[in-house]
Amino acid sequence: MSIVFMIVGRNEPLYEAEFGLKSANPAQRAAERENSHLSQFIIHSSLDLVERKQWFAAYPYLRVVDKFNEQIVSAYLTAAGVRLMLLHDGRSEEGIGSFFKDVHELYVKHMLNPFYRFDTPIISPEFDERVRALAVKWL
Amino acid sequence: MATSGKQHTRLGEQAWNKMSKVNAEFFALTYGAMVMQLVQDFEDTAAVNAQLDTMGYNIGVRLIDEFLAKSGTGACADLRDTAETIAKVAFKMFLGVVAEVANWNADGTAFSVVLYDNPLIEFVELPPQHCELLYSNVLCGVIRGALEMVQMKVECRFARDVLRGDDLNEIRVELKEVLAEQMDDQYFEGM
Repeated sequence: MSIVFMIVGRNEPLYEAEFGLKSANPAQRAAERENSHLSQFIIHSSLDLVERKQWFAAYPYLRVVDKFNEQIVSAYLTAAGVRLMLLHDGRSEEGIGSFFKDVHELYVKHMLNPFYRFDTPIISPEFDERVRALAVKWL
Repeated sequence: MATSGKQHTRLGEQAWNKMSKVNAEFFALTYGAMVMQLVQDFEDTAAVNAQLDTMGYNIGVRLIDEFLAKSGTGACADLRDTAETIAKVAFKMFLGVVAEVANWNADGTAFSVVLYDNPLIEFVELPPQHCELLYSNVLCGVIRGALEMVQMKVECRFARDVLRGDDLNEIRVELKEVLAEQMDDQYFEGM
């Protein structure tokens, strides 16, 4: 079961990563890829729930916002309205919280790069690498 | 050479303590915003590099006066002395970091200023479409401008840049000629 992480800006997804796509069997991997479209769909559909929950849940880590079969969507909201979303199968809330917090810090640092404009997709390979390292550490 | 190197370091410390400070993040972000504006205005990377160099030159010709007034260094005996002064005193005084002098050529007319820590490039990551940009090129201009004011015509360029994937920053400085102090023709006409 893979974990999907997404940063969603105001109008479009800014960054997407999938962790743990490990199956050696090509057929199974193809099936997982098939699922990744579904994952995107689940995450996007839960954005409305984030919007609803942001008014009464503890800010900025909104914890679990949505469930879809066995899959769970956790969310984290930054001050500028950028949402960090994680689709997983029931990891510890503390671990996810720490992951979000560290990614948020990374995101803030990335924003300070003069070549990055706010609310545009993140294409930096270094950012990607660091997010993956954080995923290994916390998830 | 070792003792004079120490002396330069001490002078640098003193000058640094005297200078008024500005927040490093604020400084890095301001410079970043300026470079970004140039990139948007010029589009051509070579033109941006040239513009940064020119800006640096204009800073340098003014900065040398402040440097000589506040640092307490006198006239330099030779180019080696000049190089040490730039790396140990001037960089410390204005940027708060110490640079190293390295890679002298055989004639002793060219050297490299090696910067391990460049405060300008904090947070910066060059996107692929700007991989030819010399982000900190303003430093080359500053050195060129400042040395020209003390009768040394030099050529400066970034030989290595951390942002382009090198492990350190190296500014190559080549002495082209020492300008002789001479009066303008107008001076003689008036006599």
